Amino acid sequence: MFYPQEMTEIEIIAPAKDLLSVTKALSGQGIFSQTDVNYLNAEKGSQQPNQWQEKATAYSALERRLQSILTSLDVQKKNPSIKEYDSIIEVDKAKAIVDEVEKKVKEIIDQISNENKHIERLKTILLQIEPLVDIDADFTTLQNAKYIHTILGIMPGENVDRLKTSLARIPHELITLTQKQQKAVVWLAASQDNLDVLERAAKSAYLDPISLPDGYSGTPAEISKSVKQSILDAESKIEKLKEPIAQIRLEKEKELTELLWDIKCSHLTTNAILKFGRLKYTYIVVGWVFSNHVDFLKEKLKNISQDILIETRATKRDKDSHEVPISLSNPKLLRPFQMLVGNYAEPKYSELDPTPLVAILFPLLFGTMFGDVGHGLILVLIGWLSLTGKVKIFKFLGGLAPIVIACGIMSTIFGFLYGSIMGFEHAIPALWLHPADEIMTILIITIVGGVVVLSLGYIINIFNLLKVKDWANAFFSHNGIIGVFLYWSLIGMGLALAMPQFGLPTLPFIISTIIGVIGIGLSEVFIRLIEGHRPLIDGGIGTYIVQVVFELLETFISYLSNSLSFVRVGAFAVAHSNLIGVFFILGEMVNPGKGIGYWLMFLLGTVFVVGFEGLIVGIQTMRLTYYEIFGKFFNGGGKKFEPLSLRPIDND
Amino acid sequence: MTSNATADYAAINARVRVKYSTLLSRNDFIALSETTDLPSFINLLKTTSYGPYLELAKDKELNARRAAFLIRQRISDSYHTIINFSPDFVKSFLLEFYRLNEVNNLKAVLRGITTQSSWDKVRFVLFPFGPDGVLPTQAMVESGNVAQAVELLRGTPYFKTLSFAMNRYSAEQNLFPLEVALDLDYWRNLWKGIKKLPNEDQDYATKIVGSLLDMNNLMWAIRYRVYHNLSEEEVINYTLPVGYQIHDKDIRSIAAGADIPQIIKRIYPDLQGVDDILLDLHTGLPKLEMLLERRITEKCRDVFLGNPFQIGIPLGFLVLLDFEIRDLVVLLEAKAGLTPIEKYSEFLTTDLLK
Repeated sequence: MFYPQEMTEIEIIAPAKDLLSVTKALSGQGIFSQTDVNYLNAEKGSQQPNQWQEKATAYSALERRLQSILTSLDVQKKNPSIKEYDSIIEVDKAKAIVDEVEKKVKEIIDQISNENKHIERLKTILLQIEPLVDIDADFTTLQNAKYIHTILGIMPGENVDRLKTSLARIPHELITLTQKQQKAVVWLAASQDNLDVLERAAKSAYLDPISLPDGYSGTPAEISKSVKQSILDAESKIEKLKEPIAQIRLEKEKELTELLWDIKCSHLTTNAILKFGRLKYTYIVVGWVFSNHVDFLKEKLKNISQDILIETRATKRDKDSHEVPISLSNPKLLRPFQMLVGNYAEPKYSELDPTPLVAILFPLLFGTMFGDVGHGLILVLIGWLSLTGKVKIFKFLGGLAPIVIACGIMSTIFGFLYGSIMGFEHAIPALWLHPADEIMTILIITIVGGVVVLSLGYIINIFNLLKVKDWANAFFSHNGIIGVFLYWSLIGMGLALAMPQFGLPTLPFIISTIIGVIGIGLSEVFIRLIEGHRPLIDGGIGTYIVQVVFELLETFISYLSNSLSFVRVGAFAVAHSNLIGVFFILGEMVNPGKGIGYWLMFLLGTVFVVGFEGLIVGIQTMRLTYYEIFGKFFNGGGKKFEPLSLRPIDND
Repeated sequence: MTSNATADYAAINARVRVKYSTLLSRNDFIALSETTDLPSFINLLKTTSYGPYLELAKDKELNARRAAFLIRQRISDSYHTIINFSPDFVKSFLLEFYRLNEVNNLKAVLRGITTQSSWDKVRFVLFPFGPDGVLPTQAMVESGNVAQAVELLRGTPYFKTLSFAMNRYSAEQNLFPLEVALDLDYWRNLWKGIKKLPNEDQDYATKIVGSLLDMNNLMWAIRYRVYHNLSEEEVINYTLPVGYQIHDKDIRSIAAGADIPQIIKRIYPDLQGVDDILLDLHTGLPKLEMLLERRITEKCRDVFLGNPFQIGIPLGFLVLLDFEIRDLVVLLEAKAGLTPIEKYSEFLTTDLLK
């Protein structure tokens, strides 16, 4: 619980004939994480790597094609029945099936696509001839005239006369067919010999030609009707084309869905094999296994073949290693808090898992800031409704639901301690104190609490460093022994000087503070001395002194700010009690007689406090956890344990 | 002249005459042209009625472009004053006349888009049209695309005109069809607006606005023929069939390739030196345009003699002020570039060399 799961490095040498069985055995249990040792090739450029690479490429292409076919067939994505398999699917076999179905489906899909394009073209034609539908003339008869050139189009109405004038020097005919809202539909004709004059005049008069569609004849109204009929015919054709698609879907859905998953499994298998090292007739598999599952895995492998060689190396936590993958292992009650830790970082193998600490501190801090029996119970209810899925609207909480419940329980407890229920401060007796009545007390208590929490953080950091035998940093880093020594000395000196009524001796604390300052000031020198780095002072004594002064200043400021940061806990505790009070005042303004208006305002206030203030308090708690607490000891940088799985559902 | 006209125009007549008295004289222009550089030019200009406008910017910000932008504010202010004090039946016409500046702004914005200029560069080239404007100029420039900019004009009087021309723009990727469409639409509407004025005002408006229209129509016809080598039918479609002294047959003659100096001498018999100016049509056209502008200037000054209660007074003043500011802009650029007077005087409406 206090550390990530213990890991053992495992190296397997397997004959080629057992390759698939070994791969299958390693996957599926969630206990083996693969390391890529592809670089361990006995013969560079050998044909064998290409074989698996080719297979992986082929499976990838087949997967894409099959996805596309299933989309065309409108097959909904679903998981097929889980079945055992001992071998990967043959590429050629899968390809044959995909080719056959793709050919059938593609033809129909292409036809549907062409019909859709045809419909779009017809709709454009309809739009173009729409201005002409009221004109009872058959323009198509003159479309391919030998001696006359005609232009049918729309132009600004005020340009018509000018166009007539511009064509005065050639024989022509210009007829305004309709004129609506400054737009004129005109028909212009002249001999083919004067084509260039006609076109120049039309263009300079801003005449936009309308092209009548090929294959249609009659008046514009008749053409429009024909085009609309063509659209209906095309739509009907599309519906007919969808029938064989539906038939193929009915016949092939199950087969294709299972084929897709077979291909995906095979793809995952070949991808895993690509990460194996290769000798001439054997393969090398390297990875990590949970130490408590090593024997189980060994037995499983030996059952496949006695020719398989297995070597294991348990990993100690006395080194700062980034290579060992991390899997947190906490009891069920604490597991939801792993998410909060994981959001910050994954702990290293040698680091303490902060999850138990977070599981205690997070709800405690939240509850302190949000202490109210009623509000706490509402949070518990919301969390429970989300967890059980009974109310869909709360499903968005997801993995946060158990955390919300824990925070709700703590808020309820603090509600009893504060004597606050649904914002009514004196409806029940306070088992401890009313924050609004004893503001200074609660603020001081929260600062003291913050000092305790920060000290805990320092101690955990020292423990982590001692565990990995990093003596230098354990003693002399700012978060090490000398750092916490200075911190406590400063607190003691402050209390001794500012509050003599406590009777603390001043001189010892002053001396210890001086020792702490010297220790921090010379920390870099000591660390370099212990680690064997030379020179001890980098960059000259003058620079070093200036650096020390600023580092000390920064250290003092960070002690102060980190400690005082916890005053927000008390402040929120006070604010929480006063916030709902504001809504009581508003309620009395709305309805002094405490009628419906008053209670509506109370309801609104409750929703606001639980929703909005709850969110803010959660954010503040997270800030304290991540910055003030984790910042003292939690470095992270661990690599997450990703178990090998050949099931597509685990990899999607 | 009716007693109603007296009552209607009394207030505006007085105001315009006061403003008219503040126009720069020929001597003022001579003094300005004799300054040696831009700073001394601006210092002298500050002593005139343009001073308050130039004071709006710090001295170090006053380059030629900024100064030109600031002095244009004077005409915008004048328009607003005159329109506010004009009788109601004249307001819409004056607003339409004012809109020429908005059309020019629109063309500048479209050019700015095609040259990928930033808003900071374009804004100082624009006329300060004020709250009566309908153009979302900044949004148009920042759209970076002519089609999108035209879409932003939906609901304005310009959208329909430009949407007809957009197909040609898309095909040719040239602003020419858009600009021609805007010009033709504007002047056509303005000419129609004259016909809605009271009879007496129609004469004065025709004289001034008609002269401007004639000048534009003539210049278009000649330029399309000479510079752009457009065909007869194109020249006809890109010009207007209406005018004050220039009629459609004149335009059609030019389009058909008739002798341009002869046509101009026939229309403007009092215009001196036409043959010499138009010996080379390419270099002579700007000079011809200046001659015509000076002619218009005289017409505008003439309306201040005689009946004071008519639309010619405000129109004449506004045209004179517009020409004056254009001359000042020419001088600003000449002084910024230290151009000698011989090179820029031909571009001034005010004749400095006579």
